[in-house]
Amino acid sequence: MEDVLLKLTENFEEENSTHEQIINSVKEIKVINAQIDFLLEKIHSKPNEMNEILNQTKEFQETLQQKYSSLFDLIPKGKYYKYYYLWKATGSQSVFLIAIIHWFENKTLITQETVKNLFHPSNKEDISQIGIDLENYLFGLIQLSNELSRFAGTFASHGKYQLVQEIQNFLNVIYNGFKCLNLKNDDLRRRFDTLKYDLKRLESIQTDIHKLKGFETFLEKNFQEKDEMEIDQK
Amino acid sequence: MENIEGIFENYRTEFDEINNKRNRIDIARKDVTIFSKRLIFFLHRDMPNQNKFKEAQKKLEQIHQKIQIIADEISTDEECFWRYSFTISWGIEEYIEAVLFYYYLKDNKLKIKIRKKFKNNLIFPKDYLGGLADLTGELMRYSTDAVAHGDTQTPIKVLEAIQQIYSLFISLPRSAKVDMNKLSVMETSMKKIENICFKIQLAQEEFPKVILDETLPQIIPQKAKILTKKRKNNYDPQFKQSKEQKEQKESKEN
Repeated sequence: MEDVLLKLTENFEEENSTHEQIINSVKEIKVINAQIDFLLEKIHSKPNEMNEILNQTKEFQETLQQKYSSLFDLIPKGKYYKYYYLWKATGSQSVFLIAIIHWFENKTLITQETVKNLFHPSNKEDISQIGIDLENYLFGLIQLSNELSRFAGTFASHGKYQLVQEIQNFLNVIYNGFKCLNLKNDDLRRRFDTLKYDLKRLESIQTDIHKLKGFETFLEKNFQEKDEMEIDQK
Repeated sequence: MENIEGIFENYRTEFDEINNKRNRIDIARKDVTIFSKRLIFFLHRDMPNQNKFKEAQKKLEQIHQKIQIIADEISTDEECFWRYSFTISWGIEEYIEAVLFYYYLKDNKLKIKIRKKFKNNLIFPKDYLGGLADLTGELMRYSTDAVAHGDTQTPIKVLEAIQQIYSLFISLPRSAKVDMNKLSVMETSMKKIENICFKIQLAQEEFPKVILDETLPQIIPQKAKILTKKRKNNYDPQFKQSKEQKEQKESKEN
């Protein structure tokens, strides 16, 4: 009985120490995530300064990469999914931030492979480490589309109609991509359902813009005609 | 932008593989829990010992087959186990409970260690402890059953085993993250048996055993009497024979 107890105690202590180390490194990642998020939030109010703000995030992206490599080094070999739940949400948050910066810069979708290449363990050729997992990546994409639909609203209010059109096209592409997957009735599918509302929101923004444009042209035409008539009468 | 659907189709194949595997493991795991529960109920039933353990052995092998299915599914790598560990551990806990109960009844001794039956190590300390904690509940039920049938010896033995388990749980470090719910249930069942043992001891002090055995049939209400009679009818061969003889006599007289 006593040696069983000893063995168990050793086992649990060891597990607990790695558990705590991972929690600590995840906390550090969360801080940097929040800092990038704070910077991106500025774009909502000042879309004209977008490029400068994106340049400011570069520095944080590098530290984020370092933090991730130290996190992946902590995870013991073959026990990736044991500690997965500890940083699942944080991982998808980072994917979202990277993906949205990538979209602003290139106007394309970031693939899972590029994310994996960004966040990798310190030994890059270590295949046993999984890194950013597919589930992480997909959750990040849904968060991306949620945020982009919000961006569409703020861009429209700043008169950047071209960007709104681009966002709408991009979200349609993501939506079609997700439809290729056989989703189970789980958390991911529920999050996927929110995509529809993002699309709906974008469509209503677009119709408002069209209405506005139509009204403007209508006003211009009418006033021009009136002016012309007045001139004729004189 | 055009090849995005192709990329997502690749994701789909990866996704489907994971989901299919999870489904197969889930089905096997459900079977493990159901069969384990059935084995426990079977062990609680009254039966002549020899037949009981033969049949129980068969049932145990049935469970082992189902666990082997899970073991084969995850034999590719260890990563795979941790991906599905949440689903698997439910079944394993139930299995541990059943196996420990079986060995306890068979050898009349608590068996802490289990032989490694499977190639992959499926049984992890956390699930094992969960099963061990659930075992105390079954032991409590078993001993109260025994007392109801007039067996005053088993509760004392069972109490020893439960106290052993309880002391193990108490001395575990904090990092083990023992389920406090299970611990409190274990405590109540332990106290129940302690109480029973105490009452038996009191009764034996007040009535010496010889007198107790003689007076017991008079004290026990009518229903209990019938029950004990039925029990004897079924399992006591001598009683059965004498009863058959009586019936034969009666039929002849008629």
